[in-house]
Order: sequence, then structure tokens, then C-alpha cells
Amino acid sequence: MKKVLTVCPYCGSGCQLYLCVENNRVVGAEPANGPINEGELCLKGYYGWDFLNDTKILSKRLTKPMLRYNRNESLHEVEWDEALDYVADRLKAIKEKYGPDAIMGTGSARGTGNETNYVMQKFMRAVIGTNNVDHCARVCHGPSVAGLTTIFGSGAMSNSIPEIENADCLLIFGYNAADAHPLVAKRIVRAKQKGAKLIVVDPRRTEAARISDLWLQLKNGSNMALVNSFANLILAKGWQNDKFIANFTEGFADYRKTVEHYTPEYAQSITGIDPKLVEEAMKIYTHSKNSFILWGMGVTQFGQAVDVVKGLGSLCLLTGQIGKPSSGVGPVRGQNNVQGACDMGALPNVYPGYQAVTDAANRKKFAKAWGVDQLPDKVGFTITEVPHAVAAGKLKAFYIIGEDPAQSDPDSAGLRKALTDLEFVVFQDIFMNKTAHFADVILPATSWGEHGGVFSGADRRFQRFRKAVDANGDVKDDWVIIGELAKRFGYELTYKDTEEIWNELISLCPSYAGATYEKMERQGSVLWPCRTKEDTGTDYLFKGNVFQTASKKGIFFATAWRAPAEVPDEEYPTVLCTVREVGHYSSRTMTGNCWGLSKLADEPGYIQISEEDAARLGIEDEELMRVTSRRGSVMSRAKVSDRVKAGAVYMTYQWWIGACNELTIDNLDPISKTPEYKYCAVKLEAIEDQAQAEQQLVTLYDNMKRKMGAEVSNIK
Amino acid sequence: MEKLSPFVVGDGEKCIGCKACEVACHVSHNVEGITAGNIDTPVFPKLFVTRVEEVTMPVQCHHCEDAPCAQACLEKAIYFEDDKVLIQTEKCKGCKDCLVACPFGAVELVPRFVKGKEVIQENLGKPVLYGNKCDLCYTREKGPICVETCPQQALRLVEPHKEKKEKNKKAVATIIGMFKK
Repeated sequence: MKKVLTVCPYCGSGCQLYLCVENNRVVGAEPANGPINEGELCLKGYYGWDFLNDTKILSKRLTKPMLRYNRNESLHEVEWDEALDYVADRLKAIKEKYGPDAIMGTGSARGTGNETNYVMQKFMRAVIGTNNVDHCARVCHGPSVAGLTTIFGSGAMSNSIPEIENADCLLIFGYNAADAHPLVAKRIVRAKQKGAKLIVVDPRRTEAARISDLWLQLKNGSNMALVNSFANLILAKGWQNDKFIANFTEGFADYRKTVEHYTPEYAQSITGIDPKLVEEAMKIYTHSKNSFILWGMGVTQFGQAVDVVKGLGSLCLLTGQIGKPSSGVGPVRGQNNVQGACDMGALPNVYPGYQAVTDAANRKKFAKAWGVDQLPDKVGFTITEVPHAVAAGKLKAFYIIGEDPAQSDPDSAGLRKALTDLEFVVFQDIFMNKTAHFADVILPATSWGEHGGVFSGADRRFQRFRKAVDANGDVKDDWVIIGELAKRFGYELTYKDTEEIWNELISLCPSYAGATYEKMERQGSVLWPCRTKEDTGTDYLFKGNVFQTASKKGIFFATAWRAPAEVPDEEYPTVLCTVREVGHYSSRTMTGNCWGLSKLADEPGYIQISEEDAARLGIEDEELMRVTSRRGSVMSRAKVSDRVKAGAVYMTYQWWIGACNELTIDNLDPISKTPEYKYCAVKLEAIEDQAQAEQQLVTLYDNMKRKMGAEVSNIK
Repeated sequence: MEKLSPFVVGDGEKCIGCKACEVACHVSHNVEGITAGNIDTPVFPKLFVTRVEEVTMPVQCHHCEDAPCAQACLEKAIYFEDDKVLIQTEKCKGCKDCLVACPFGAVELVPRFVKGKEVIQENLGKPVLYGNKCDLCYTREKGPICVETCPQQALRLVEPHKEKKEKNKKAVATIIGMFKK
């Protein structure tokens, strides 16, 4: 048996593991002693690899290119040349007719790695000639990147994950590490054991809330008001760090004026939080030696998200809780390589290394390196703008790599319409999924485990991941496919291996320049910025309180609270908030095809509902029930829980039958264009005939699975 | 003195409810040749990650010295082997008396699968069910797999005699300190 050291393909923690291989088949996974996981794994790390063996539990692996010349036909298998020629011809025709900005592409935050993302954005920019490239960070930590870039000049976690356990105070805001990042949760538990004070802000009693010193159970959708009241209280008490403010920040006077209005007493009318709790929380945050703010989707998936990120960052500036070990900001990234897809410039506004496309000097540098006369100067579309841009007739073609927007994006019905209305859809992935059914061409790629490269962990950590087995089927590496496509446009985008791609990209990004494959190999991982051969990387940012903004100062920001877009009313009286579940990852194409994980949690998934609401509606624990919003209606299974408050329910987004994104609203943050997954109005109903509903569930699910090429068994 | 049975216990301060123990448990107890990569039945763990308002932790069999489950079993399918309470599943008739007797809810009735197929009682048209609970992974050299798998080190095997002796020793140290003052 051979053991191959690699990086887990699931959450953004970046745990290292060994894949155990026998006769070109993965047979197990064992923890490695990586800097994040230190010889431990969570259940996805241990039991999340067998999708590689094409189990066909949920869907089948894509093993051959497929296409259809018109939408009335079904997709049929073809040879690579036919598929790639057709893609090139159609994209060329659309570019000719409507211009390059009618074509949109995505990078992928998942198993494909940094090199593919670099090659993809280069293809879109240099070959197609548009900045229309984005990926699912948009629906995730997009607001963190946008907000933190504005106030600190850098959009990533300021400190590394191992530093969490040495903080004296953790302010955990809208972040459920136990479900999202189990090995980060370990650091939180350890911090607590080492004596740190835990302050948790969350409407649910999460695992962190449970072990916290203070739990602020705020009303859903009131984040900005609470953050403003934090600042107000600090200033009223004189707990701010005047020296830090004077020397290292800008914009304090305006900030002070804005938060003046938000006394904890006033904020209570919005947040429901007792002013005494605000005082206690801020006393701990300001008086601890090293305070570290961690947040997740509970901050970013709102119509007002970027503002809240800036508000949290401003708390660091107000108190000087940044620029030192175990103190700063931690927007912990969700997917294994969502940090990387951002790092590689799979974003509509920046080149790799966060170099703005609107800057003429950057355009010149990249145009020269990529051998083109000029590069587009207009910021491209975000993925969440796709439905609107299609409706407006601006987008005609969509080249999707490693994403499943039909499952993951809000208001599924609207998204399906957009995919139908597009003239041309190319889908490049490893599994059939909901989005694949809208494609004109399907390009099958190798999976994590079948190729290598570099991932970026949530804490700016470059780590090598490695090939363990040869892929079965007529599949190619993502970057090879893109290169072969580029050739058909007369552009040379071929590389010998991923290291050649990597060396090209680090030569163009000063902050990655010293992070070679060799250094990653030697050190185990490299945290950027890593600028030179001698540089070993950077654990925490802003040393000496030097920020990366133009003025090198931190920039204060506060603004008024805005209510969510769709508030409950008589007809739809309950708030729906979407959350995570530990055993499944993203849209479930991988974990749903793993035996252990798929059997542990299956359709239609759970809706967490309070005991009061369940009793009022006559809904029993484990019963099927109906959830309806203005956009759709789905079935889900009740998890009656004493950890949630009456008036709000919680669903996870990976289910096909219990698909919460049929219900969610695409109200977008005005800056980051991130949807308000955390808040829309729904009504809940008990289902009278449970036996019939259970039967319907099985039928619907079996039909879906058959459509995805799964082998439907007799197991319920 | 009779040797007390060991048992696995969870630490509610450390557990984050990730269920790695549940999958590990199922994998460890499947018949030969079954690995995490080819489980062909639903997952039936022998310990149950449980969330209440204040605590999250797995609950499992304590291998009680008076084994109320065994006492309740009319078929005598539940028995002590050395210091473990085990179930002879072929004898189980699915009467559920053990479920009622167990103070922890540590026994579950699960359907029997053979080679990935559910076994059906032909004349009833219903699956064959049997009692399922923690057996301390007694066939496994390294002991309970849940303890080994937990990323939070929130599970441990309690060996009551050892535990008692160690506590005695600690107590001595403390008491001595008391006299020194």
C-alpha cells in the first residue's frame, strides 16, 4: 500500500492527510501531522474520499465529453476534438456578434487548485478579452474581501489558524466552526481550555455559544446595529486606544459621529441585546491582551454585509487589537480553495495577487507578460449578477468550472431561467449535477486525488496537494482543457506541469514571489505574503501597525443599520436562515457520493425549528413538513431544537428535495453582490399525511438520482 | 473485588458534534472486507451524538454491572463476556425490552443487512431487526475506534479500577499538602 501526502478537499481549514492507495484505487485516509490538524481529522477528512471510486450513490462521474447541437436533444458522448472545436466555434461566434463582455467564466474554489484558477482567468482576460470571471467566493466571503481591503488594504485572515488557541479573547460573530471547520473548532475549544474568554454572537446556541462566557443571542438581521453599539459603548467608557487611533488610522471623527446614535439602549430595540451584555462583552474585548474576532457567513450573507465587515475591522482599529500575534480578524474561508481562487484573480476586479484591473500599470504589466496588446479595463460581472445580466440581454455564454449554481445560488427558479435563456453553456466538472443539465457541452475533468497543485488554506496558507491515483475515463486536467481551448483561438496557453504555471504566476505577484514549490515542500506550507527567496512567509499581517492601504493607515468606517429586504409579515411570518451541516460539503456532489457521509445525513435534510413553533404548528420532531416562500415551496424534515429561538428556522443548502435555495431571495449586498441567504420570509406548515409524504420523497429522490446517473438501490 | 467493566464516555466540554465517531463506529463493526469506501448499508453507529440545549456529546453503553438490558432480555441474547455486555444478535427477536430497560438509550434496533441487502421477514413483509449497542470494539486490537478517531479528543475509555486508584493517589497528594500547611 502506498500513502500519498495531500491536503483535504473539503473546508478551508487546510488539514493534511495521507491517501492510502492500492492498485490505483484509494482505500483509506489517515491524518498527517499538518500545521492545522496536527494528526487529527474530522469525519469528512476520514471518510470523504470514496467518491473517487465512482460509487454512483448520488450521481455518476463524468468520464467522456458530451454535447448537444440543439437544446431539444439530450447530451451525447463525443470525442474531445469535437467538443473543444464546438466550444471554440460557439464562443468565437458569440464574441464576434456581441463582444467579449457577453461571455462569462468561473474559476473554482474546490478541488482543481490554484493553477487552474490562474489559467482560467488568464484565458478569460487574455484570450476572450473580458474581466467577466468570478467564482463562489461571491456567495460566501466576498464581503470580507471587499470590506477588509477597504479598511486594511488586505482581504484575508490577518492571523493564522494556529494562533487562535493563544488568544485571550475570541469574539465569534455569526460563525459556527463546529459545523463549518471542525479543526478550527478544536482551536477554539483549546483557547477556552487555556483560559481565553469566549464571546459568541449568534441567534442559535451553537457549540461555541454553548461553551462561551457570554452569548449574545441577537435578533436575525441586526448585525450592523450591534457592531455600532459595541463601538458606541467603547467610546462612552473611554476604552478606546487613543494612541493607536492617532498614529495608525484615518477617519475617526466621522466614525465617532456615526456610532454616536447607537447607544446600547437604542440598539437593543433592533438587536434585542441587553445593554449590560454589550458592556460586559466589550469590557472583555478591550481589556484582553490579545483579542481575535472570528466570523463566518452569519456576517457575510446579508444584504448589508460589507458594512458589517468594515464595522468589525473598525473595532480592531478602535482598540488596537490587530497587528500582533493572536489578535486581529479571522473571516474563516469556507471551501478548501476559496482563498486560492481569490488569490489567483478569479475575480472580476483583480488580477492574481489582488492587483486591480482598473490600474493602467497593472494592465500593462499583465498584457506584456501574457503577450497581448491590451487587456480589458472594465470590471466584469459577478456570478450573482448573471441572472440579471442575462435578463438584460448582456450575457450570452457561460463557461462554468467546478460549480453548481443551480443548487448553490439563491432563488433557484430565477437561476434556472437564466441558464435556459443563455445561448451557450459550457460545464466542466467531475460529477453530473443540477447545473449540468442546462449545458450544451460537458467537459469531464480529473478530480482532487487525480491531479496535484497548490491550495490556499483560509489563513493564506499555500500547501501542495498531490496526485494519488490515475483517473479512469477520458478526462483531462482542468488547466489542460483550458489550454487546448485557447489553442483553438490561436493562443498558446500550454504548460508542462503545474509547477510551470505556478512559477509564471508568482513572478507576476510580488506578495507570492518567494513561495516556490520547493519552499512549500520544505516548510510544509507557506503563508503569503512571501516576497523573497529568504522570506519564510507571514503568520500575522500588519506588523508595526503598517496597513496595506494607499496611506498605510487603517481606515475607520461605520454606517447606519439597514433592515433585511424581506421581513416577515402575516402571510410569511417566519425568518428562514441557511446554515451548514458538518457531514456534507457544498452542493454535496462529493460527500453525497461517499458511503459513510451519504448514509449519515440524507434527503430531504433537516429544518431546525424551535419547540414553541413546532408545538404551535402541530409538527413533531422528525416529521416531514412544508416550507414556502414567495419564490418556491419545498419539503423538509423537522429537527425540533431547544437551540433555536421561535420565529426563525434554519436549513442547509445541499439537498435536492429540501432545497432551501428554492426559497431564498437574491437581495444582494450593493458592494460585494453577495446574496442575503441568511434572511427571507417563509411560512411553515405541517403535513397531514406523513406516509404519503415519505413515499413522495422516495419517488422524487429516486427520479433525481436516476437523472444524475446514480445506481438507485433498494436502501431507504 | 469484582473487576468493573470499562466503558467509553464523552466530554461535553470538548465535543463539537462532528460525528466522526459515528462513522468510525459503523466502519469498525462492518463485516470483513467492508471499509469506509464500500459501506453498502445505512450507517448504524453504536454510539449516538446527542445535542441538548447545554451539552453536545455522544451517548453509548456503560456496560452496567447489573446490565438491565441483559436482565430484561427474555431470549437471553444479551450477556456478559468477561467485562463486556454483548448482544448475540441472531437470538434477538426485536422485542425492545432492552430499549426500555437501558437508562442511557444506548441500545437501538436496526435492520439486518446481508451483502448490502436488507433481510425481510417473508411472511410479515417487514425487515428483520436486532438490538445494536457498543461492544467496546472488542475484536479490535487497538480498542474502541471512536476514542482513536475523535479529532477533539473528547472520548476516553474509562477503566474504573485504574480511575479509582489514580484518584486515590491524587487525593493522597492533596491531603498531604493539607497537613503541610
